[in-house]
Parts: sequence; C-alpha cells; structure tokens
Amino acid sequence: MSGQGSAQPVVALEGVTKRFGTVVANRAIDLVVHPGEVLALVGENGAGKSTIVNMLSGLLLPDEGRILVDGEPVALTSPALSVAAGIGVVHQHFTLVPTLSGLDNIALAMPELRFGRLNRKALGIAVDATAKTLGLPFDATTRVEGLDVAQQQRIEIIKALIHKVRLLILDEPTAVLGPDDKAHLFATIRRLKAEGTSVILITHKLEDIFAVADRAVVLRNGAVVANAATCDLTPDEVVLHMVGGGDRVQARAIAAGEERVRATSVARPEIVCSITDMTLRRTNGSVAVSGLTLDLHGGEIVAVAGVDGNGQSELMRVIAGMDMPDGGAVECLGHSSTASGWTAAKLRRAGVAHIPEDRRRSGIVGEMSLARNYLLRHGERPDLVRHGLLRDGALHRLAGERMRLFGVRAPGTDERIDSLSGGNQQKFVLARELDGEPRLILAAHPSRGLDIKTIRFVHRLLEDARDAGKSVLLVSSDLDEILQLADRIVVFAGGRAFGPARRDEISRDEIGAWIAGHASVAA
Amino acid sequence: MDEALFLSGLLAAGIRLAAPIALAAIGETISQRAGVINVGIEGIMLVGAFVAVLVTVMAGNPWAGLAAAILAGAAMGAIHAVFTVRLKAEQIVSGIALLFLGLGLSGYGFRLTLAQGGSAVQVPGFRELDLFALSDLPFIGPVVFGQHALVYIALFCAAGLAWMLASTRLGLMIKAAGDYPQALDAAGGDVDRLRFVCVVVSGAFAAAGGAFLSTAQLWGFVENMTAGRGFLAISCVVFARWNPLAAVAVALGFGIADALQIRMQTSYPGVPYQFFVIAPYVVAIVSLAVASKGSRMPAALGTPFVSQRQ
Repeated sequence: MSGQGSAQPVVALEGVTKRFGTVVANRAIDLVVHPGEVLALVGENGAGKSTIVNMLSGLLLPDEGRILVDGEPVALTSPALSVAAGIGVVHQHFTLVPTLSGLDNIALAMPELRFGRLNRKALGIAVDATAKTLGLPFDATTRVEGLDVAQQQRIEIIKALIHKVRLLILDEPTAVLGPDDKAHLFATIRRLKAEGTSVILITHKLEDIFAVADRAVVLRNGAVVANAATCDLTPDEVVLHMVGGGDRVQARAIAAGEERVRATSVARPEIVCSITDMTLRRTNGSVAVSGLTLDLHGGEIVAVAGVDGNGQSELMRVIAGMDMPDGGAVECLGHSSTASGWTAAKLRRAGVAHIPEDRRRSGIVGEMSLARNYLLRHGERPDLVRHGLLRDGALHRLAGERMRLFGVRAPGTDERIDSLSGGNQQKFVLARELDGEPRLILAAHPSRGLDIKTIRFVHRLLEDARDAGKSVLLVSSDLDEILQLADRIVVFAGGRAFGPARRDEISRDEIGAWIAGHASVAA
Repeated sequence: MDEALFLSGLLAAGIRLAAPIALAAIGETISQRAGVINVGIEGIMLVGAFVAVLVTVMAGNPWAGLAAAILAGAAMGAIHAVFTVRLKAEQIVSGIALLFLGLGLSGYGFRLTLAQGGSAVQVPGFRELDLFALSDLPFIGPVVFGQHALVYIALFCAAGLAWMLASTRLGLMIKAAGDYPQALDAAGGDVDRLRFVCVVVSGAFAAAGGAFLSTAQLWGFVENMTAGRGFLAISCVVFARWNPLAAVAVALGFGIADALQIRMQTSYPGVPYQFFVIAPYVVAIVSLAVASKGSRMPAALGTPFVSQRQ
C-alpha cells in the first residue's frame, strides 16, 4: 500500500471506449481518482456518465482500454468483483427491496453472510457502528417503502460502505434531497475524504460541484472535455464545457439562472382547484400528509416542496383522478371527489393536464409509436378519431407539428417512443399535455434527470402557462427550481403540510426548516 | 359424548383431506415468493399420485413411491422453470401446459401399467401412525397422534420454510427475487438460479401432495383424482398472503369443509350430493374475494427477470 505515496491513484481509466451498437457512449476516456479526493463528474444527459459508473460497478465491460485499481489492471466482470476491488456505488435508482427493512436490505448486499441464519443483533451493532462513524443515523427496522428518499439514500450509502470501500461513487445523490439532508450528505462526504476514502460525485448541479468537489471532470458526447481543480473553475466555465459550442452568453445566462429570483406575479382570484382538510396515505397505509387545505388559482404556480415520499406523489395522483383522497375532499373544475365520477378521464376532459413523475409508468407506452402516444391524451378529439376509426394522417400531422414546436428530436412520428432519450420523451409529454388549453397543469418533477438546456425549456413553458392564466401545481425536490418558479409554496414534512406561503414572503432558510419538519428556523 | 366423537372424527378426517392441499400450497408459496407463479401444480400432483402408486406397487414400499414421486415432481418443476425462468416465457401459459401434460401423462401411464390387469391392484400404501401409542386417547388421540407421517412432515416443512423466509439470508434472497429482483442482482445474487431452484422445489412438494392422495388417503390411482386440489392450493397461498404457515392453516380449513360436506351428504340424503361437493370450492371463492382486497402479492410475481448486465 504505502511506499508509492499518494501519487498512486486508487482507480484509473486508461483510454476506455464503450460502444452500444453504433453509438459511442465513452470515447477514449482517461480518468484518475487519487486517495481522499472528491471528484465531480459532470455532463448533460447522454454525455456518458452512467456508462462510466456501470463499468466501475461491474455491470459493463469496456470495449477498449483498461481499468486500473492501485495501478493493477482489473477486469470488473461482476458487481461482486467491483465490491472486492473496494468500489462502492450508490445508484441513482436505489436498489432496495421495498418490503424489507433497512437492516435486511444491508444483509442482502452481504454475500459473505452465505445463506444461513441471520444474526440480526450482531449485524445491527456492526451497521450502527458504521452509521455512527459516518454520522448517518438511520431507521434499521422499518420497511424501506415506509421511509422517505433521504432515509433510503442513507441506507444505500451505509450498504455500500459496509464493505471496505476506497472509492465511493454517488450517482446524482442530491437530486432528491432537501437542503438539510443535502448539507448532511456533504458533511458525510467530507468525513469520508478525511478518512482517505475517494468519492466520485455525479451531478447536474453546479452548486454541488463547488460545495464539496476538489476536482471536476466534464464529459460531453462521451469524451472528457475538461479536467480541472474546482478552485480554478467558475460556474460559467463548467456550463460552457457542458453545453459546448462556445456560446458564452447562453452559458452565462444558464449559470446565472440557477440563482435568479423571479418577481412573483399577483394571483388572480379564480379558483381552479380547492382542497379541503385532505389526508393522504402511502401505499403501505401510513399517513403521508394530513390536514391539507389549499386553493389553486388561475395564473399562479403553486409548488410543493419537501423530501420525496412525504405525500407529494399521492397528492398528484389524487388531483389527476387516479386515486381517491383518504380523508377530506377535492373540488376541481366542476368535479368533486365526494361525488361519483372522480376519474382521470373526466378530469382530463375538464382540463387537467398531468406530467407524471414516473413517465414510463403513467406517461407513455414505450412500445408504441410517437403518434399513438400522442393519442393517449387526445383520443376523444373528433379531428383525430371519427366513429371509432383512427384518422392516422391527421394524427401524424398534429403529432409532428407539436413535436417540432417543442423541439422533440426524433426521426419521425412512427418511431417507437422508447427509442428517444429521456429528455426528448419528457418534451414529448409536455407537447402532448399542454395541447388543448388545459386549465390546471400538474407537473411532478418535470425537470428531473434532464440536462440544463432542457430544464430551462421546461421552466419557460411552465412560466408561459402561468402567464397565460393557467394554474400550475409543481412538485419538485429541487428547492432551487421551486424558488425560481413558484408564486406560493407548500411544504410536506413529517405527516403535515406547512404553508402555503407566498414566495416573496418566505426565505430559503424558513423553507429549509419546514422541509426538516420544524415550524420555524432554529436559533 | 357423541358430539365430541363427531368433532374428533371430523378434525382427524379434515387434517387427512387437507394434507395434499397443504403440501402443494407450501411448494407454491416458495415458488411465488421467488416470483414465479405455477398454475400447473395440479398436473404435477397427478403425476406424483400416479408415480407414487406405480413405484409403491413395484417396490412394495410406499416410501419408495414417495421418493419417486418427489423426483418426478422436481422434473416437472424443472420443465416449468426452463420455460419461465430460462426462456422467460409467460408463466400462466407454461403452467396451463404443465397441467395438461400432467393430466395426460398420468392417465396414459396408468392405462399402460396398472390398469392393464383389469382388476384392482393391491397398493401397500401408508398407514396412520400411532405416535407414542397415544392415538387411542379420547378426542385428541386420533387428531394429534394418529395421523400419517406425511402430515407431520408437512407441518415441519411449513414451519421450517416460515423460519427460513423470516430469519435466514436465503429467505431474504427469495423475497428479494419475488419483490425487487434488481436489488438481488445488484447484490451479486443470481436471480434466475434462485428462481429455478424454488420452482423445482415447488414441483417436488406438489408431487408429494399427489403421493399422499394416492398412497395414504386412497390406496390407488384414478384419472384426474386431484379434482382441482392444485388450484385450491394456489388459492390457499393467496388467501394466506404468501405465508407458509398460514397457507397450511387455510388448507386445513378447506380440508375440514371437505370432511364436513361428506358427513352432510349422509345426514341429508334428500339434498342432491353435488351441492355438498362444491362446498369447499365455494368457501375458496368467497374467502378469496374477501381476502384478496388489499393483499400484497410479491411485486415481481409473473415477471421474468432480465438483468441489465451485459
């Protein structure tokens, strides 16, 4: 181990290339991670970040080039070998079994326990010790499905670090966290760094890079375009590298936009949707939020902030007509949840558009063409369907026109929608949902997983909709997005709802306190 | 005293009638917990019943028949596993194919072998045990101490399986394979291999249930003698919410309902007997309709697992 000093990188990629068919995901990547170094890996969607993660975690093998651990070339052909090499990964989509407790999930990730009896007591003590040194208290006994994402992420991190880990890879860890949990995560990263553990932080957010990273590597189109210490970089430069093309003005605008505070517009009195004393339960029956009373007006954006898993998904499902509230009532555009007929079809007809958080499950049908997916919302329009027969020509014309308008990049409307990138799929969903003058737009995490340019586009669409007098209900775990867009803010935390508060009458700290479950900022 | 005698007889008979269903239900629980539904256990039970009788007659020992039935059942389970786990075929379709395969194989095999003589064959089947010589105790004797060995084995297996699911890492792996196989895959487990083994084991249990039917409950084989018990076993699993001990308890409920309807037939000769025969099935449908509300099936049940690894 010693002798060679800190110059020996923990992990190095040398000329690594990975292709999928004709697409080159990684092109001759050179990357080194030194002991105790926090490396930020940044880039837009499709830049090749996840491919690098998957190669380091033993899910993919490079086509060319080699991976070195402690200077020795290794073949990471399975996740077990990657763990044995001292690499721990927290994937963006958690790999936790929802019906098992946190402790059982950790035990599942320990093949060295073999198949026999679990000594939960001894394991619990060992896990607690790891959790304590990391400063990550967690709930070991509750089933994972009853925990919010911040708690789940802690279990994932502990799970990764229960083995001897010298390089921890965190894939978009801050995308789902509130400010308190984010600060906590950064503290944990610093603690790991102090102990000599290296960290690769994959992120979209400029703020994260400058908060904890020592060095930033920027990827574009599968290749490394910048590699520099963060103290030598400015946000403008990072964005410039990410979007490429030398458009310095646009880059500066995007970078500045992240901190921009918009003047809030005055809400008009027309009430589109009225929620009274509503209770929402999670699928496992626990109360997610209770006593929620909220009116949504035309011409305003109301944002729900909070750590995911505190009732935001349930709220969206109820207003979209996919579920009934577990208590209280909603009235929306002439329909009431207390009367019969609280269905998604009726609410859509009344003018509710829904940009769902789980696009693949409730937004699109991956195996169908773009045109058919367009029909999902507009199947009752007489110009598209007459006497039960599909008017294919009109449908393709309309879908193509809308796709052009929203900048959806696709070879044609006959293309299967799952062949598109996530960003283009999301633009397609927006193009479809915003068609036909909706009066209430439910936008759940509309920009999650998108690149900076697309996020800007989505934000502008929502602002335009608001300015056109529509009501927008936004759910996001990104507080910056909420502060930037919202006119009024509600926070779900710890089983209750805080607010609503007007954007211009509340500070970031106060919202942070609400998200952490306190009524006011701690002294 | 008459009532006590009636009740004792009813319980003892109920347990006997429940045993084949319980054995099949234990197997189906393992398989479904790992994410594979096997609607073909009826067919596997039939093959088990036939093979058990055949080998028992040939070897003169019911234990040899049971062992052969278990092997045959495991082989049938392996067929289902090859199609559903390895080839990722639709599980229901494969299960239905298995059902008819078992129905045909057992009936055809029977005609080729035992039915050839024309007269009934003497089957040296299982006899009830007399544990600790206590089976003559009034009331509880025949219920608790006078059952077939397989009944005790079934109870032991159910308890062992429940313990395995709750307290061992193998149990966690099986639950992960049925609920969220990606997590098991990411943890370095082999989802397909685990599911394969579970389906094979479920076939072995179903065949043991069939063997009980033909070498303990009746001494002989009749075509389609399971008469839907495999499907009752599946409903036991659902009703018991994928808990093996509860599945045995539900099977016992069906067994007692069956024993009761046989007694009702003699008590009410005026009523067509078919009305009584359907009683256990009516119990199954009604209880399923009531219980399936809000029940949580393994989330990945019926979904073939495709790893993202390349």
